[in-house]
Order: sequence, then C-alpha cells, then structure tokens
Amino acid sequence: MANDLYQYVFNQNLTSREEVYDFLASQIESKTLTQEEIKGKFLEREALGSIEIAKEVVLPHFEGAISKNKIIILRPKDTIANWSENVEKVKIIVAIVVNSRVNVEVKQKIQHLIKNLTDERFIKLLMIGSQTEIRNYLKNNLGEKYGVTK
Amino acid sequence: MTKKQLQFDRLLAVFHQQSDYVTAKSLSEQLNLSEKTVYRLVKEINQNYFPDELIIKKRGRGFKLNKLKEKEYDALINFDQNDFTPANRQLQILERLLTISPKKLLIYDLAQEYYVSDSVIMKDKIEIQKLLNPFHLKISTRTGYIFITGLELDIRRALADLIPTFSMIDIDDLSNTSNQSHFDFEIANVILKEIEKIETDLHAELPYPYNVNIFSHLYIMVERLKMSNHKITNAKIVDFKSKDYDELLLRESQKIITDISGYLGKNIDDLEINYLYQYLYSSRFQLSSHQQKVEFSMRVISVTKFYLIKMGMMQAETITEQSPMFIDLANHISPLLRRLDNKIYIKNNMLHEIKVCYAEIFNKTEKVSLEMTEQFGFSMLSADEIGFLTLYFVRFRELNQLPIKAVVMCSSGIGISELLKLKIETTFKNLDIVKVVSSQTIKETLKTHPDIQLVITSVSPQETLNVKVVLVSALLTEEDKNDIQQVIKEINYGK
Repeated sequence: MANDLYQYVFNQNLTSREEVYDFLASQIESKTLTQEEIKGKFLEREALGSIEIAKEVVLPHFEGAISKNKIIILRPKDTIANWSENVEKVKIIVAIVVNSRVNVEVKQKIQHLIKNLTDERFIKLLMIGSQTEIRNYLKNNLGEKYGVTK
Repeated sequence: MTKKQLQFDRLLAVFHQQSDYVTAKSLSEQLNLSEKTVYRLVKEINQNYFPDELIIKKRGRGFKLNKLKEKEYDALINFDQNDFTPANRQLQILERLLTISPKKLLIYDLAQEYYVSDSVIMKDKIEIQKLLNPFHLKISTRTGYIFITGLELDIRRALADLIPTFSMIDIDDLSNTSNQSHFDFEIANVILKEIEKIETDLHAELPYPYNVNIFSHLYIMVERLKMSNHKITNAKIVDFKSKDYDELLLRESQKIITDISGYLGKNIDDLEINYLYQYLYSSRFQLSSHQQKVEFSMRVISVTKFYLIKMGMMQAETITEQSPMFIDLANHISPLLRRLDNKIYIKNNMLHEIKVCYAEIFNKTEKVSLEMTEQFGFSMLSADEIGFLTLYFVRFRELNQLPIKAVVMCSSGIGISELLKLKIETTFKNLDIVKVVSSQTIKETLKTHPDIQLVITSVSPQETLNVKVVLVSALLTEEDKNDIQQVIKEINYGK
C-alpha cells in the first residue's frame, strides 16, 4: 500500500546509533531477516561510506529481503551526540528500506523525497516542523498523485 | 623577489642596525630562520665578495658587517636589492653587454662594480655564453675587455627574450613593472604613447602579447640606437613597391620612427621603418566586430584547416570557413605565419602554466605544428608560439565539449546515490549523469555503457574499475566538489 510508505516517529527516546538501529529494525517487517540482520544491513552500509547527507541528518538505507518498502522519518527526543566515528551530532534520521522488487511508483516517491532532502528549507522543517507540516510540505512538493499524505 | 633574496636582504638589514657582533643564535631568532640557514646565507653572501668578506666571522662572538666595506654596502642596498645572487649579476652583465654590443666593458670595472674578483666575472662569462647559445651570439674577452658579438637581429632577439624586464612588463601600469636597475621609464613612456597612437589611428586595440612584443622591439631599438648606429643587417626587406603591403601600417611605422627620431635627436635608418612594419604586420589587432576581416589568404586557410583537422576539432561538428571558430583561429594563424616569414619572435609569459595545465593539448599542438611546418615549408614554431596556439584548442575544446558521461554509485543505488545525483547535476553542468547504480551492478553498467568516463561514488569501490573514480561524501562538500572538478580536468585535458 502506497500510503503506508511513510512512517513518522517523533520524540522517541533514543540516545545512540545502536538504539536507533534497534528501533528501526523493530519497525521493519521481513520474513527472512532477523532484527539483528536488519541492523547489520544498516551498519554494513555505513561501513562503506558516510551516510550523513546534511548537517545533523543521516540517511540509513538498504535494499533487501523485506516485506514492505518503508521510509521512516525519525526525530529523537534529544540530539544524538557521537553518532559514529565520522559523524558527530544527529537530529534527524531518514531511513529508506526497499525490497529488490521495488516498483517504479515507489522509486519515484523516493526520488521526490530525496529531491526535497537537497533543499535546505525542507531540512529545517524536518528539524522543527510538526508531522502535519512535513506531510503538507511533501504533499505540495510531491503532489497528490503519489498518495503520500493520505 | 625570491625567498632567498628576501633572506639576504633581511640578514643584511639586521647587520646594518648593529655595530657589534651578532651571534648566529640571535640572528636565527630575529630572522626566524634556523642557525644552519644563517650560516649558509652568510657563506653565500661572502662567496660573492671573495677574496674580501662582507660579513666578518669571529669565533665565540658571531658575525658583523665589514666596516671597511660599509660604504660599498650602502651603495649595494641602494643599487638593487636583487643583486646578491650570481644569476642576477650575470643577467645584469648580459643585459649591459647586449645593449652596448659590440662595444666592450673592462672586466676590471665590472668586477669593481659588483664587488667580485675578475675570476668571478670569467666564471660568469661561461654561464652567459650558455644563455647566448640559442641566439648564435658569442661572448668574448680580449686584453682585459669583455663583449658580445653577433648579428643585430640576434642581439635584439636575445635582449627581448633573456632580459626579465620584458617578460615582467606591465604595459597598463609601468610603475608595477620592475625594480630592474636599467629600466628607463622615460623611454618606456615615450614608446607607450607611440603604441597608443597606433591604436587610435587604426581604431584597433593591440592585445597581449602583441603590445608587449612591439613595446620590447621599440624599447630595444631605442636603447641600441642610443648606444651606436648599428644597422640591421639581416632583416628581410619588404619591397613596398610590390602591391602586397598594408599602406596604413607602413604609414604608422614611418610616423613612429620619425617621432622617435625626433625624441632622440638622431637620424634613424629607414631599415627600422621596414623592421617595425614587419612587427606590426605580424601582430594581431583587435578590431571591433564590424571591422573584422573574414577574408584570408589561401595559405592561412590551408594552415588553419590543417590545424583544425589534425587537432580533431572537425569531429564534433562541421566547421566551415565561416564558422566563428575557424575565423578566430585564422585570425591568429595569419599574423603567426607572417612572424615565421619575418623571423619575429614572440614571448609567452604563460608558457610554463600552459605546459603544466594543458600538457596533453600542448604536446599534441607541438606534434601537429611540426607536421604543419614540414608540409607547408615553414621553420619550426617556438614553444612560445605553440603555447599560444594551445590556448585556442583548449578553448575550442571547452566550447565543443560534450558533457562527460558519468554514473553515481552507492551501495544500493537507492538512497545516497540519488541524492548525490541531484546535487552533482546542480553543480556540474558539464557532467551527464547517465545512471544511478549500486556497487553490485557497476561492472555490468560499465560494460553496457562503454562511453561512461567517470564514476562518482559514496562508497569505496571494492574492485578496480577501468574508468576514473571519485569518492565523495553525500554532503558533497567543497572538497568533494574540488575533487570532481580535478578529475573532470584530467579527463578533458589529460593532465
């Protein structure tokens, strides 16, 4: 279901990368991967190269055997200090997980989200905006046809 | 001023303020140099004043300036701050001997003037001869005198080429030009006014390097005329009775020589008019677009075509004789061929940078130029000329350039690579991002897209790829952008 693609989680009490990945793994459904394995996928990706996409924003992502494609926008209650060796503070986590059979429609939605992620105004909104404001911003920018805000 | 010259200068300045000995340690602190460097500087300075020493050493006490030489030292700092190195002294002697050639200078006088021994001057002679070799000139000594002999044109060529004043000259503001000891600002200003007159009369601008070239030619001419009445013996004389000459340029040449003759209060041989005419005729005037000539002689057209074909410029688009690129190059080739006819040399101050930045295009231009001279029967082009031509092809390539085909790679090809693609597309208009790929599929992609020249990746590639790879962060920092720019340059110019 397209409208299940986005999940917003705000004010979660998460204080480290470990806790963030544990939390993300708990939100992702898979028939074959365990939560530990999902967490491992995130860590594996990060080991290959930095996932910091803007100041205090990270984009953990992977493509694998998961049941539902998901974009999780996560804003922990407090800034995470010392995310990793290379990344210091993190305020926003935008996680993208897709399975290998990802269709064009979802791909387009991801591309549109990413386009917004290159926009400083959107980044600012992710930091301080309410869930509705972010939804509306994406709605205006992505358009109804993608059904993201329903 | 070089770093070393600056050090000499500062060291001597410290001595000048002290009447007593100064220790190496104190000198090293004051000058912010190591003690070893201080010792080396003292040794080098003293070498130039052998057998006397300008700086006296005393064990346990340090260094001090030779009081007996104090007067000479004062003369020295007023003379020229750059004079402390042998190379500078040699250049100055060279310039003086060339300017007065074939007149002679007493070796004894030179030695006195530079505070060196006669044998140092004799060593200088060997170094100077090396510089003169390419110009077929000879430095000789006889009965205590030293002098340079050779053909007038070669002497002028050597002056234009070897004397730093002419490569450093700032035509727009002479006061920036130099602290060269022998540079005569009065003559320089007279000549600049003459050049301005040419530009006004012809309603055209004389761009770099032609302005510097004409300036050097006239300046050297005046210097030589002041010294003696040497005639140019091997200039090719243009027969003005024949039809093929530019009457306007001839009239300008006559006017200028008459003006200078008036300024010097001296008759100037008509040969100089002829020679100046050749210089002007071999220059490219920047005309306003409606004045721009589009008719070229057959040989200019042939040589221009030759270059465009051999340099691979015709592959990307069809270039006709009316194409702006063709006209642009032909406008350069036309005076270039005249320079080759008249053996007029032109100096390229950017030569070193051109060779470094555009090595591949420079080498190719050099190769094609050699083929051109063989095919059309010209003498070989100088590196300076090849440098100027190179700039045309660099620019044409930029104009002509198709964007470089690139892919953006990430571990999965879904997240960061998409983001990078957007960021790169906004920053680099000369890149065509063909695809966003995952590191698993990169090899396959390169196989199916053999035209891809660049991989920009946010993850370290696990295997070697046959194309250029730049590793960047998803933030695409300034440093990342510079790295990409550098690789684009490497791809375009084969640096």
